Amino acid sequence: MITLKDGTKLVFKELFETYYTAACLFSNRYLNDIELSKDIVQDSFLGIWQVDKTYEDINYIKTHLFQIIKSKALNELKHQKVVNKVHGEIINQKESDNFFKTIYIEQETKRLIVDAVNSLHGLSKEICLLSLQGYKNPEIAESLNCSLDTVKYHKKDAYKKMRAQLKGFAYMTIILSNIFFN
Amino acid sequence: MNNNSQKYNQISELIYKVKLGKASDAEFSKVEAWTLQSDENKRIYDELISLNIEDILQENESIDLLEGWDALNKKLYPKKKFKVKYLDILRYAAVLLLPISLAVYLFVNYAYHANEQLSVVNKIKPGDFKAVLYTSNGRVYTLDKQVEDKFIESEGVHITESGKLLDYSKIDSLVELEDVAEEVSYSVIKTPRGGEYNVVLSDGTKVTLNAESEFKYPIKFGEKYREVYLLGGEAFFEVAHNASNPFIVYSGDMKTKVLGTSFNVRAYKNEGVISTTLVEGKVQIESDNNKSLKMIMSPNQQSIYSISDATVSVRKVNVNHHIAWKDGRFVFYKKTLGTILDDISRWYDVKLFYQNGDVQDMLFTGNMNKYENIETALNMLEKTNKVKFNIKNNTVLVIKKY
Repeated sequence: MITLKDGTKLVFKELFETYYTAACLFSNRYLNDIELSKDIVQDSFLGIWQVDKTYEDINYIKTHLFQIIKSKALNELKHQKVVNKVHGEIINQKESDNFFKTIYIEQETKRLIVDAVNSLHGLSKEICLLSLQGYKNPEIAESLNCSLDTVKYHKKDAYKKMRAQLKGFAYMTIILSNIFFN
Repeated sequence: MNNNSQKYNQISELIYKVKLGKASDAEFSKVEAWTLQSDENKRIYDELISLNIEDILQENESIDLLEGWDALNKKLYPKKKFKVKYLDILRYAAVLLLPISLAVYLFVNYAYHANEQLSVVNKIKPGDFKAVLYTSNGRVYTLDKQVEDKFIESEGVHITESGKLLDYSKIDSLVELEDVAEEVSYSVIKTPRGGEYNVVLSDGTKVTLNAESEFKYPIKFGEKYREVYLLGGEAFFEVAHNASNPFIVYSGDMKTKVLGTSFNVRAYKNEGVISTTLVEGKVQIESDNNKSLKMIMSPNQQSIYSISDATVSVRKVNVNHHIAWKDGRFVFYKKTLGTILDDISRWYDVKLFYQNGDVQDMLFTGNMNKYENIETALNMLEKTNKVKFNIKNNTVLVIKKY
């Protein structure tokens, strides 16, 4: 009924593209097993896709997704404990709200950084990366063999783009609905 | 927990800004206050600030997005093996026959009544194949699905596919026009609000016009260039390849030059920008008002040309969102409500009235069939609980919900 071509799935695909990587890395903080983490994340996305629901904004989906991943990962750990692979203390520590908070904030911050940097292309990206690693404008100009003005222009342009991208996220409303395909 | 996550999102955004050196003083103080709240917070902050960007990017690249997407799809559509005995089939069939026939009866009955109701309530119709053709010799033809397939001699053009398509590429049109070929004569086709139309140009290039668009083109191309004009609105081009004869689309003072490729140009006057989205091949954009602007685009890129200051910015997009209109859908990803409703009002030919102006800037993501009736489309947006619509005659009132 729903094929790769239909558009609702395109929207879902964008969600997937936005959060899959961050979700896998998040899950891996619980499991220390990247293949298992991917598996759990894919199942969690499936769960979200199969329930027809409208979300108020992107943050709600994200929260929902990460909660599902958390509980699936913890279940997996508990199962591993039964077969004596994981120590009980580790589970207690990973079950705590503080652990969730730490890895959630870390992964989300990293995701925003990656998104912002990857939204740039070519010279803008190179200049931005060097600048973020602490190089001064003249050093960047020299290492990329371009003028100081070019560096300044691209830096300004890059920040403007990244800002616009961030702003776009806050107010987004998602309609994940299959109503036209039933 | 939900509430906490929102807090975590906010603090992540702030730390991200500090990390990229974009935080304002106020934002920086907020982060500082947060780090003072607990050792835990301080630890998280220090950890993130000390991370090397290259390492973050590298960690990120260790996850293969495509592989993940494929794996997800395999889970979504697992290949099942059925081994059903013949007798079983008969048994199931017998059991199912009664409810199925009942369901069909109910459905037909329901659909019949639903239709009846619609015809009374719903006068607003989705768009359809409609256009007006102004020929080079001053004649005007109205094109719609009622028009039968025919041949307009002065134009050398066929109206085909039950009035959905103008085709200039048929051989006999060239024969007809041989004696006037020296001079390039132009025709103009205009789609109204609530209309769309297809044109095949003399070189075989396919052009799909969206609602409220105006397109000027020669009935036969000259030897050196293939030049056409998008005077307003939106069009999707699938250009026939001819390396020795570049295809140029003029739109305002912007020029898009191509050899053979497919791309979308959107140039609605009220938007103040001309967006060109490249699906495949290569195009070069230029501006008459800014000679230094000359840029080559690659697939999956969209250039947004600002008419007022003749500057251009380029971004990577999912092209499917931007060409979905030609395949009968409205797909919008992080688009403002203002733009979405503009498209809807153009397609259903309705007027918009905003009770609160600021709703226009809210961003939505969604997808709908553009041949559904307008209520279905608006209901879908209402499901978000952010806006409400009231339809009176030909006007849609947009109300913000708190």
